[in-house]
Amino acid sequence: MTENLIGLHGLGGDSTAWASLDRDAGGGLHVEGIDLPGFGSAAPLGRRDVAAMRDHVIDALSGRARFWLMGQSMGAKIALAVARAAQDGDARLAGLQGLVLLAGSPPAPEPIDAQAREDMLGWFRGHPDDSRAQAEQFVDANSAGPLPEAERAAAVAAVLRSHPEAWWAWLAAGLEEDWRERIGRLDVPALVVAGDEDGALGPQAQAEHMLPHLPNARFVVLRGAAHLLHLERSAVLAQVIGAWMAEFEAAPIAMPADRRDFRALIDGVRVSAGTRAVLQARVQAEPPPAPEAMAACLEAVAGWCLPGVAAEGLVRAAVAACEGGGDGWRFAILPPDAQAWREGVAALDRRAGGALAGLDARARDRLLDEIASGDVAVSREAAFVADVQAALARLHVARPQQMAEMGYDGPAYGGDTPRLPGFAPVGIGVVEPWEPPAGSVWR
Amino acid sequence: MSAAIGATPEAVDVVVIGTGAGGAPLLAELARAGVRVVALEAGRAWDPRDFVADELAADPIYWLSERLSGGATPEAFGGNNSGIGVGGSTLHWGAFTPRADARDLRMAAEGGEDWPFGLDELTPLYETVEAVIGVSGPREYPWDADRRYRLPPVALNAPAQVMQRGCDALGIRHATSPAAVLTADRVEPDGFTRQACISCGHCHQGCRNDAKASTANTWLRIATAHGAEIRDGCMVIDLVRDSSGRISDVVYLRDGVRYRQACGQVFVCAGAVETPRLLLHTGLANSSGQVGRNYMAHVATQVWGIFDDEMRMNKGYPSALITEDFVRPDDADFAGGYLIQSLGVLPVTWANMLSRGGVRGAALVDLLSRYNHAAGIGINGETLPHDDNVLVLSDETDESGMARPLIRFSYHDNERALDAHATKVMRAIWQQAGASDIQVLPRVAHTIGTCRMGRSGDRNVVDPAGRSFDIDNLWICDNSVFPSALAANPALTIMALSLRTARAFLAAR
Repeated sequence: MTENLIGLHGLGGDSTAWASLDRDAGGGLHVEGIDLPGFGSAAPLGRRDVAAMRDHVIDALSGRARFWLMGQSMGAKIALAVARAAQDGDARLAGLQGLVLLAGSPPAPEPIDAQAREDMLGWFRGHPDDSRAQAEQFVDANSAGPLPEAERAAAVAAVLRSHPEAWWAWLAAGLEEDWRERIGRLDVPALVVAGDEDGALGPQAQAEHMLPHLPNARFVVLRGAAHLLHLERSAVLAQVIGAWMAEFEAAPIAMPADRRDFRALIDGVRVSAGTRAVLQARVQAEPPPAPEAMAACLEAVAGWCLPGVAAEGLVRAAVAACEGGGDGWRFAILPPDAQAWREGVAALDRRAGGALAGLDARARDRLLDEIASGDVAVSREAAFVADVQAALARLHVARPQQMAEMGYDGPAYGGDTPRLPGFAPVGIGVVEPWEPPAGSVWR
Repeated sequence: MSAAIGATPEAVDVVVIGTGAGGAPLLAELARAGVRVVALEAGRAWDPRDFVADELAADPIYWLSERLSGGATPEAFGGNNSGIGVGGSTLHWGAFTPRADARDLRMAAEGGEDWPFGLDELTPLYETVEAVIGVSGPREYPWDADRRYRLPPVALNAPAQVMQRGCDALGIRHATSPAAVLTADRVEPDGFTRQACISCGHCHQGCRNDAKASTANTWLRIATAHGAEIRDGCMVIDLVRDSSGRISDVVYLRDGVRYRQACGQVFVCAGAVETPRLLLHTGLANSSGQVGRNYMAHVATQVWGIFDDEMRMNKGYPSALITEDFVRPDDADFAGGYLIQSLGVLPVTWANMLSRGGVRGAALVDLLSRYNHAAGIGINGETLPHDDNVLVLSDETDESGMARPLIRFSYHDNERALDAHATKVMRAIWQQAGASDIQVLPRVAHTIGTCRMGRSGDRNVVDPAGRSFDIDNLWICDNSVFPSALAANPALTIMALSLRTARAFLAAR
């Protein structure tokens, strides 16, 4: 199916502005434009405000079965006004599918540089040679790098075709019109595009003034482009628009119905296959038992630092880890981990007068508290106990069963879909409907 | 150590050792200027989609070859500060990108070291770096009237919002942090797209949609587009000199095979541990005796608390709020200053922090069970260079046959005074924010110093451009050349220095 994208040009442009985008869009997307009053071949109207331009566009659009509406700069503000009419039920606009807003002038008064505005209000009042120079200056100042010569010539010609009264009217009043309340929030899907070299209508301005009106917007920044995005980056822009339209086909991400069933969450589409494999392997892992004396001693340490936590599996995993690769550093006073753990266990048992595991909980805790109060930079026993505690605590919270208990669902930010859902919104007290509470279970 | 000898690769103009924040920008600059350049990277190349959303499983992007940590304040390495892979530590960095404060480059009067140039030289380089990697931040920055961030700020997560509350109550200014994290999809002229941040909170485990800048999705793309070669899995073990004393070859191991790469110039960009380690191992560029000296880090104490509301601190950009009000506090009894940031961390990191901070027993089990209600705040504070804070070679060798590094690091009076000041401030902020169960946890972050840059060769390893005083075709660019630690996190400044070194090299050709 070929999608129809109708473009509303910016100040000094006309419907020829979309030629390169249409060329680069290929077969699936047809781009055409509407001349706004006073630009291109459209005669100026008596009224030159935003509402008049909106009505002109609605007239031109009426009867189209299915279309997407695009606006660049000034044209974006008109497109927003049209979309508002569509949301309010104007039957002539029932075919509107979505908005594409390029370096758009927002509903709020445009944050334009006051001096630039003053200068441009003085243009096109003198000799034709001056007008040409002004038109060239306008096109060049609004592109980050040199435009292709044909695009530049066409853009300059369009500026020169503009009716000066329409030019002045936008600069004097149109961009100042405050449409914030009238536009409100538009539910229509929107693609908001900005150039990161744009002075007044770049990414910061779009985030501040445009996006709050468009809860269903995708926000895209074109690196190294300024304001004439459709001319500066027609090929890339065509790709971006095509990909965005295609994304509406994607199925929504399904969530488990039972918020307490943590395993269903991990098995679902919100978790990547790679992450799922890691978590499942951790649940199923059966590290070999540690030597009996070592296991008994380390389980006693676990009873001290993580009381009430099932220790046997943690100790097995910790011993297996200390014989593996390590975590990139160790206290210089200790030998390599495997040796340090053997010697450390022997030292603790010695300090306990035989076996740490043989002490009652009170005596065990008193001894380990005393050792742990030593300086890890000086005392080998203190350093060893600190290492063991850190290893056990890390492994404890890394277990999916414990994640469920804590209600920690961090791995569920996204699976293997092209676009990851992430977490949104974020903030104090924000919990999404699918998120498990603390005390969930892994089964 | 014996190893099979590999076929000799074709000679190149320049070898860059390391593809992190130090090596990658200059690799791009040199390639763009037509220099024939190859980068040797110890780790592997990654498809970001292969990163795993799990803390323990993120080990492959950390530098895990063991380092020995000594001194009175032993520092953790590995995932705490040292990365491996094409992209270096920028695969796991926090992407927190404050700029250096001008006063931090002028530390001599405060008992530290001056940088051989001022902020005026760094500012345009910062602007270039920020544009290339994509830095988001507030439109206006409260502590720098001239600064503008092009990309809108990240969303404030719960820890940032409670920090805002605490700061407001105390009259402390704050702003959304500058972060090398995209807040919109960003499309390069060639169509390559990095998606917008989705608030997944897994910056330190590798960004799966390229929202976070790494050198791999920025500078290294530019470099390879201009003909640079990135050779991964290559651990450099030797630098060979010719009869004139200049470097003629770089020797590296790849899959156990030993190769010798002839080159005209070498840029060592392996970070403040591996760079001095290689120089000490080879005995090069050390007539000053300064290689490995002046090791610095950051005082990175954290304060944690429990809040009535759910924080779910794993969500969102982890360090979304900053205050620079304490870069030079009025009542300071110490040199330098510190930044404060909000903190959200994932459970394994938090459990590790609490454990290392001495929380244990029923208190630990209870705190861990309330993960979803916890939030933190932390600093990045100046440390001065001290004579006893050094990196030396230990008598243990690693898998490559080189001696393992031993880093001795101790806080002195200045660090202790800064830490005490910051702890008091952070406690007050957290009390005002409504935290209970407040915990103060000591931490040391980052690796800085060891190959100082300066004007004279008797007390510095490299000149202000980054060139060795001893060997004129040996350059260093990474955090090892920093004369002072800066309160700002290092990576943005490293990238700015990398452009500066590249331009000095190109100008001197």
